Amino acid sequence: MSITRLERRIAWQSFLPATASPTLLIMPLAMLAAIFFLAPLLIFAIYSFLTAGLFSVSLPFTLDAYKAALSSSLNWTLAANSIVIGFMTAAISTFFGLAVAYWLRYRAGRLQLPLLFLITASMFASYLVRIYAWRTILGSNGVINLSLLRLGIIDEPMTFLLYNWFSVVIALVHIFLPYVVLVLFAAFRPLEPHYLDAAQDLGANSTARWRRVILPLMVQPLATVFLFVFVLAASDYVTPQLIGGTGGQMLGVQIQSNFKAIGNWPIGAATSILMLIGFVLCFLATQISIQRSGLGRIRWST
Amino acid sequence: MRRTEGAAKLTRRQVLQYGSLVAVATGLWPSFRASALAQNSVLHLMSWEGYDFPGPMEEWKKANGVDVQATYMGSHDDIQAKILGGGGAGLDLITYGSSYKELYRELKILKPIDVSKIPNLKNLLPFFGSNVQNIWVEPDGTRTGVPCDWGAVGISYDSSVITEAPTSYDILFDPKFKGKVGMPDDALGAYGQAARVLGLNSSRMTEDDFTKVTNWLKDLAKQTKGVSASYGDVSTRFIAGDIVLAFLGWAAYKSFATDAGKKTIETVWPQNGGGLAFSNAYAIPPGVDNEDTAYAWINETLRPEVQAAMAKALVGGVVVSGAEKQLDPTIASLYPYDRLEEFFALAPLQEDPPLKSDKYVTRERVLAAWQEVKAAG
Amino acid sequence: MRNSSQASPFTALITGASLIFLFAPLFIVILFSFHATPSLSFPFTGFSLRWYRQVLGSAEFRNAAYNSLIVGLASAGMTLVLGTMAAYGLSRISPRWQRLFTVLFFLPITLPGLFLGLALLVFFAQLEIHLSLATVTIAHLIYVFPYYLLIAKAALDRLDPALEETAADLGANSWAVFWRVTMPQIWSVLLGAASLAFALSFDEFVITFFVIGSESTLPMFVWSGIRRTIDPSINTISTLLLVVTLLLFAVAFFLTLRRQHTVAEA
Repeated sequence: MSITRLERRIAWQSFLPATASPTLLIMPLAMLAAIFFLAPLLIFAIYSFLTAGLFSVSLPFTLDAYKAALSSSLNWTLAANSIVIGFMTAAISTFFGLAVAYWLRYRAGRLQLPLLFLITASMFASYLVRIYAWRTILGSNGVINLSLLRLGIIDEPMTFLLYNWFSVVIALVHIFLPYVVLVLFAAFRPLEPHYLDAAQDLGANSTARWRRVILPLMVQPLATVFLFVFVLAASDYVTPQLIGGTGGQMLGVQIQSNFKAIGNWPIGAATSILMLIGFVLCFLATQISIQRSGLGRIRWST
Repeated sequence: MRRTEGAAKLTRRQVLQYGSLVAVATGLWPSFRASALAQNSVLHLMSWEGYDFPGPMEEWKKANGVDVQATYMGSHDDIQAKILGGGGAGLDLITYGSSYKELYRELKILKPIDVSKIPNLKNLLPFFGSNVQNIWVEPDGTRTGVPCDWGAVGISYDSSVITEAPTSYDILFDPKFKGKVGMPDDALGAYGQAARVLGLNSSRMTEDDFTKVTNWLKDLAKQTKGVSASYGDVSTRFIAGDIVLAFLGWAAYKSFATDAGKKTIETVWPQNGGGLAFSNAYAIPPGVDNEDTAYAWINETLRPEVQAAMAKALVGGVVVSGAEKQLDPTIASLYPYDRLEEFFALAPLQEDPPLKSDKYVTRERVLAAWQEVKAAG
Repeated sequence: MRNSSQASPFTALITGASLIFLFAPLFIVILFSFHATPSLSFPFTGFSLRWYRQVLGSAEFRNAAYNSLIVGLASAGMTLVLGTMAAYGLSRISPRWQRLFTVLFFLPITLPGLFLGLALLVFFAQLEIHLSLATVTIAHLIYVFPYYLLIAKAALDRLDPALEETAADLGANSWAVFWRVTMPQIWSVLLGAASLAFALSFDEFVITFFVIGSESTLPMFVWSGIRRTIDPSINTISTLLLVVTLLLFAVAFFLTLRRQHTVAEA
C-alpha cells in the first residue's frame, strides 16, 4: 500500500469513531419508527376516545365512539363479511401455496428458479389493475362467459361470477398467493429431500409423509402465513369497492368512509382499534393452540 | 414554446416540494413553501372527468400558454379529504356540487371570490345570477362559487336493450332487469333523487321520510349487483354490457360510451317521479397557487361560445345567456331555457342535509345509512 | 435422489392450476394493453399500439411516473442506509436490546396498510404537516424498511463471525472491518433488498391513498383511471410496470442469488 493511500485512509478513519456503538447505528431507524409509527398509532388510539366534530376531534374523552361502533348492526354484518372473506382467502391461498411451494422445492428441477422468479415478479403487476382484470375475466362479456357461450355449455352469460364476496376472494387470492408461495418455499428450505426419502425408506407412503413429517414441521410457518393473509385480506378496502357488489362489502370500506366521507374520525378510529384487537385475539388463539398441541416445540434439527 | 416552459417549471416546483422532505426535518418548511409558490402557467384543477374541457378550452389554453393538470375525482369526498389533509396545497381550482355548500362553508374550503376579476359574471342567466337558495353567495354578499354547468339526473338506459324510453322510475324495479341496474356511490345524490321520486326533500327529511327513502334505496340496491365505485364506473359497466339501466342517470354517459364505441346509452327524465337538478360551481380553494390563472379560466368558461361547447361535450346545460342560442339542437332541447324558473320549481337544485338539526335528519346520518344501502344484498 | 425426483401428481396438478390462475389474468392484462378499441371485454378486435402512444404521450402519466420514481428512490435509498446501519447494529447488540428493537422494527409488517395510512393521516393532520410527496416517502419508508431489515439481517446472521474477528485481531478497526470484510460479502444482498424496497414503494396504493397531497403517483394515476370510464390505458400502465419490475427483479434476484451461491460454494 502506497504512503499516500495509507495517509488518506488514516485521515478518513480519524473522522469516524474508532468503534461505532451498535446502539448508535440502530438509533436513526429506531427514532424514525418511533416518530412515524408508534406516535401515529398512539394518536390514532387517542382519537378513538375523543369527541367527534366534523372532520375534527375535541375533548373531552368519551367512550361514545366505541359504543356507536359496537351498536351498529351494519358494522357486525361487515365484520362478518370481512372474517369470511379473510378466512376464505387465507385458507385457499395457504392450501394452494403449500402445494406450489412443495412442488417447487422438491419436484420442479430446473424449472425452480425461473418459476420462482416469475411468481415473485407477478406480485408487482399493479395491485389495482390486477383487481380490475377480474372484471375482464368474470364479467358478463368476460373471458369465461364468452368461452362457455361459444362452446355452447351455457345459453346466457352467468352473472353470479362477479360482484359478490366470492369474486373478492378470487381477486385477493390472486394478490396473496405469490407471498404465500415464497414464504412457504423459504420454510421448506431446511427440509432436505433426503429426509423425505428416509421417511419413505422407513415405510411411510405419500399420505403418511405429509401427515407425519411435512405438516408437523410446517405448522408454525403455515399458521404465520395464514394469519398474515387473513389480516391483510380482511382489512382490504379497495377490492370490495371495485368488485364486491352488495354482498362483498367489508369493514375496511366503512372505516375509510368514516374518515373520508362522513368525517367522524373517532368512530373510524374506534372501529379500527376494535378490528386490530380482533386480529390480536386471532393471533393469540392460534399461537396458544399450536403450543397446546405440542407442535410448536418441534424444531428443525440443523 | 410556452408549454415546454410550463413543463420545466413544473419539474422545478416538484423538486422544490420534494425538498420539503428535508425541510420537514430541519424545520424550514415555511420558507420552502414560499419559494414553491412561484408564478407558473400550470393550473391544477380537481373536478369530475370531462370538466377540464379539453376540446372547448383548447384554444384558450394554447393562446395563454396554460397547462392544465386535472385530477379527476371519483367521489365528491375526494375534495375535502385532500384539502383538509393539507393536500390542497397547490390546488388552484375545484368544482363542487350544490349539495356540498353547507359542508364546505363549515369547513372553510371555499375562498371568497374577487368578482372584479371575473367580468363575464354579468353573462349569467337570471336564474343563476340571482343567487337562488344562497348557494353561491353568502348572505353578507361574499361570493364563494361561480356556476359552471347544470343538469338534472334521471334514468340512463341502453337503448339497444330497452327500446322505449322509460317513463317512470318503476322500470328500475322490473324483475326482468334484476342485476342489470347500475347506481353510483353518491350518497347525497341517491338520497336526493330517491326523495324526489317519493315526493320528499332530502335536505329536510323527518325520521319517517328518512326511513321511507332508505328502504326505497335498499330495495333498489337489491336490483343492482352492487353500487358502483363512481359515475365513471357506471359508464364502464354500461360499455361492458353488465348493466342496461342506471339510477342517478347522467346525460354525459352518452358521450363517454360513444367514445368507447357504444352509441346506445341514453338518459331521460321521467315525468312521473319528478326530477332533481344539480349544478357544479367553480371555487378557489385556500391552498391556491396560481390564482390569476384560475380567475382567467373561470372568466373564459362564462363566454357564451365556450359554454355552448362545454354543454355539448358534457351533454349538459348552460349557465350564461346567449349560450343557449348557440347550442346544438339536441343539447338545446334537453332543458327549457325559456322557462327555467318553472323548471327548477319542478326539479329543484339539490341541497345538502343539515349538518346539525333537531328537526331533520343530518348529513352524517344520511351518509351512514348509505353504507347500509350499499351492503343491502 | 431416486424418490425426490419421482412424480407427485397431486401437487403437480395443483401447481399447474395455480400457475394458470396466477398468470392468466396477467396475460389478459397484457393482451388488452394492445387492444385496438377502448373496450376491455371480448371479443378482441385487433392489435394496436394506440394505448402505449396515449399513455407515454400523456403529461399526467409521465408526471406520476416521475413522482413514483422519486418517492421509490428516496424511500429505498433511505432504507438502504438506515436499514443497513440498523441491521449491522442489531447483529452486535446485547440479546435483550436486540429483542426490544426487533419488536419495534417488525411491528409495522403486522399492521395492515389501511391502519398505517389512517394513523399517519391523523398524525400529519395533528401536526399540521401538509400532505405531499414527502409524507408519501415517509409512509413508504415505514412500510418497506421491515422487509429490507428482514433480508439484511438474515444475510448478516449467515456471515461467519470468525472472519470479522480475525480481521479485528489483525488490527483493523470496526469501520475497516465493516467495509473491507463485511460489505464485500453482503453488498449484493443489500442491493437486492433495496430493489425490493423500491418495487414495494413503486406499487404502493393502500397507504398512499391516505397520505398523498395533490400530486399523483403511478398507482394513484391508475386509481383515478379506474374511477372514471376506463379503457385499456390502465392495462398499458400495468404492462409497463410489469416490464420495469421484471427488469428490476432480474437484477435483485440474481444479486441475492449470486451471494447464496458463493456462500454455498465456499
